[in-house]
Amino acid sequence: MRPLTLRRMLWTCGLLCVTLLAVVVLALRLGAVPFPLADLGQNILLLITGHPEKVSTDFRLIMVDIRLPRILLGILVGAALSVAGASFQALLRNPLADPYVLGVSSGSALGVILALLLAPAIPLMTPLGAFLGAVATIAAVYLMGRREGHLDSGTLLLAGIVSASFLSAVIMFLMTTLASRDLRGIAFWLMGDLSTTLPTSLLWTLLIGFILAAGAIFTTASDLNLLLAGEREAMHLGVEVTRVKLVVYISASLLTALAVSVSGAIGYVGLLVPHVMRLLFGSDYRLLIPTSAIGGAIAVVLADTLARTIVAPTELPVGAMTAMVGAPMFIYLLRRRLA
Amino acid sequence: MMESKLRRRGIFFLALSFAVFLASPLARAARQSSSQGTLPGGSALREVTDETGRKVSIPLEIRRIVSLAPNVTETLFALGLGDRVVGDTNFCDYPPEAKNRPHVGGPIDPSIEQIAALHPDLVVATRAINRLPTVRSLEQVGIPVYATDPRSVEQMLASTEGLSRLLGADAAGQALVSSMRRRLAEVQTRLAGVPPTSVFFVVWDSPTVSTGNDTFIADALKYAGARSIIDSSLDWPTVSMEEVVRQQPEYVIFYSATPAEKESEVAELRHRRVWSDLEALRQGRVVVLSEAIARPAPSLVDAIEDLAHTLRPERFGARSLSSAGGH
Amino acid sequence: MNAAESMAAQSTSTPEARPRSGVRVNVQQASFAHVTRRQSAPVFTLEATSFQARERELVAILGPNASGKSTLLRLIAGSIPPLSGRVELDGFETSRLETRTRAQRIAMVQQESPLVFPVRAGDYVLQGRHPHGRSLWFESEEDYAIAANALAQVGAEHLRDRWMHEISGGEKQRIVLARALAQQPLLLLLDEPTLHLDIGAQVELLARLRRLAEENRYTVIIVTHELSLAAEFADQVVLLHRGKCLRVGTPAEVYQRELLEQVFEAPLDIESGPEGRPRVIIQGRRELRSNLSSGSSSG
Repeated sequence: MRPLTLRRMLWTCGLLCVTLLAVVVLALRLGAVPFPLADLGQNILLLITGHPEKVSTDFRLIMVDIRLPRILLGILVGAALSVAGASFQALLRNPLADPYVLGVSSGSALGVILALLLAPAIPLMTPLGAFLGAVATIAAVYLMGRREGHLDSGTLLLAGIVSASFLSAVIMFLMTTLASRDLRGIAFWLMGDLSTTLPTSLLWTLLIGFILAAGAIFTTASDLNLLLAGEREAMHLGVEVTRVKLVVYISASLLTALAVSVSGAIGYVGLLVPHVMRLLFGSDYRLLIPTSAIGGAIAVVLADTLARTIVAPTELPVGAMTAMVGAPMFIYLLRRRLA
Repeated sequence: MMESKLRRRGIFFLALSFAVFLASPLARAARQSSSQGTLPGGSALREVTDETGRKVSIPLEIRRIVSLAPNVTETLFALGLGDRVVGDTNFCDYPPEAKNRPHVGGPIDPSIEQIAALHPDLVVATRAINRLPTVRSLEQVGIPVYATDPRSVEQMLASTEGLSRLLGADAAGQALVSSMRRRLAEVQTRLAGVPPTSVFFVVWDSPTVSTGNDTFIADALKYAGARSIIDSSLDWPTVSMEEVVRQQPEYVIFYSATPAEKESEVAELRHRRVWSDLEALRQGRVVVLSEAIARPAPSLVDAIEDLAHTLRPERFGARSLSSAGGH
Repeated sequence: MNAAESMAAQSTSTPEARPRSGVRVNVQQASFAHVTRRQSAPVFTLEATSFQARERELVAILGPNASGKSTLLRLIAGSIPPLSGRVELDGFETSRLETRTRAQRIAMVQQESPLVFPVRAGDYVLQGRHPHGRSLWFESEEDYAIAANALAQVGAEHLRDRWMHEISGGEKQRIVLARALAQQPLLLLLDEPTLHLDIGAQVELLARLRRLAEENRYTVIIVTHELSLAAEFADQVVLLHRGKCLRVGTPAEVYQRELLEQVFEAPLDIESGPEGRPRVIIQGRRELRSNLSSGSSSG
């Protein structure tokens, strides 16, 4: 039993950050368009030392305008989904919980469909519709999941599952009966897709949203450790159970909504990354939250790099990659627990 | 107590500064690149409206084009602009020269990077096949996209002409379009007075998908003297085979990139439940067309002629079927 | 006056065999009822009950199932507010205390919820230090020392690095108790702690609780239906029956044969044992007289 100290936490996070950096460099290097490492290094140096005008046009176009935002998006989405997944696993006291178990992704998808139907021409309508759909679902599931005035984990889980199924059915219905050809893109979005280049302002919004929501969850990390031992026990150990559950519910749902609204429903990341981090670094949420965030970022950037290089120049949706790797990994983890 | 408070603050500021540190040089770079614009050559621009109603700013001189759909590629080559096509999709296989162009991926999932690396002056897409997010991504990096949207035979002709004017190939465009109009008129004349043949057009067999009323295929069928038995406002409705059998169409039409292989598939369908009740299938009143029927491009006219010949050979004299089926 | 100061004041008093310190827990006419929407009249789970407990005292709340024992314990713990009356710890109403403050003074040991993720016994015990920390806080050296000491007091240091799901029921019980001790409370509450233990473990637990009450100056209140254990180890017994408090007093005072037979609906005999503590003898072969007012038993 090794004590968790600030030092150990910083070392672990530092190590993971270095790994992330390496993955980012790899992702920048690889792609449909090859780029020699020397050129890459030289151009990055020019950028950092403040000589942007000397950078080659190709580099700027491909690296800075296309690849880098995509990698940053992958980092944010991966971090958000993993933290949300870890949080829901604690909130619902269920190791099988993932960010979508409460129906947020289905609500988002419905929001996207409605947005495409009603106002396809407005730019950023898709992320906005997705976000609004997610928020509506969060509110509805919260109201359903209440029992005697506070959030009950069991009821919440059921309410979420039922909502997800219902919304999926509605989506299926709409997709089959509506003639609009703009809806074809939704199949891609449903799988989880990072290929849409987004304006920088949206990336900034994501970053701020992530820091706020993940930060809020992090402040309840030690409470979550106790919550996992049981709600009554946690209460007798001084945890404000109702308040903590509400904060975690809203923050984790917000993280999911943010991720889903820009990249669709990328699967398995929110479920598996926390488990892998637990295996590596233990179940203490004070360490699990930051390691899940960085681990999720690594996972998504890797998956996305694979997705856009494995059958280049065709691009697979990143959700397909996470499913292909995630499903067998999940089975392995499951067997390990049972063994 | 003091120590833990200090620690708490320390962690928070560490995290925040890390985030800011990471973001600032990138933000600077992003701001720089978007303000300078990435349109190569910096040539003069003009504004046009594409077929979906979008306003697009394109350069006056368009020398490098990337096509994101097979019908667009075919149209560009037919207009004699093949040498300006610097990239197309994996699925662009007609004419054969199109296969040699650098590929940028599939129509639904092309690589934005790859397209950008080809430095196109213009990307041409089509609404029926390409996705709006792809178009937006390209515009985000400063590459203009012109989208076509031909939904009928007439619109296909107009679209061809429009593209020719856009790209400064007016003469070729007019010649091509008038030739296509002449051939279509010829077919109409020959079919004058003949009642349309009822057909069942199979887009896909499981699930069974046919064409609705508003598609270019439905329109092409009409030009060829055929009438689809499916009445639907959806573009590509999934149909019930019982309904098809009830109507007992005179002909069943399939299409394929490899018509010969399709013949054997069709033979198997004869034995499938419900399909086996189709008289047309039992008696061999089946037509297998090339993929041209499924592309709103100049070769659609070939497909219309082929179909008209097959359905009403007595109206067309000694002209054989194999002359136009080259795909 | 806070808990620490009151403790300090008491430590300077003249030592006696059983120092009569001030009252720590004061239950005054506390009652509780579940209010359901359908019925207009509330169902009383516990009618007005009063008793007091001092430090170093072990109180047993005794009664058969559904007698309101757990409700009384929860009232004392402050998890539910009394419908009428007051429940006080050192003068403060327990249900009005802030969750964290309450957890610094009251530790509860009850049937554990199943664990979702594997956790080591040592970390589990460390959780008991949570009420004394702040959010975004890491355990200090002192916290680790207190946790280690708690493990020592329950004789479970060797279990420190073992996983909770791998140890036996009795060992787990000790770890849960250690976590409660790590809270360094004034009041230690246990809800049916002997339920799944064999007789040896039961006696060991009660003896340990008695010892801890003495050494650490706790007030220990346990809920139980084990007549013999309560008789042997409790200083005070609160007898409950169907939500009513029938008697409060020393075991000798409370263990009257007719009373116990009525409450527990079993044929019993009471004898006097060493130190004046009653011994309960089960008369299995004798018919329980339905009419208890008729008096003495037959051979």
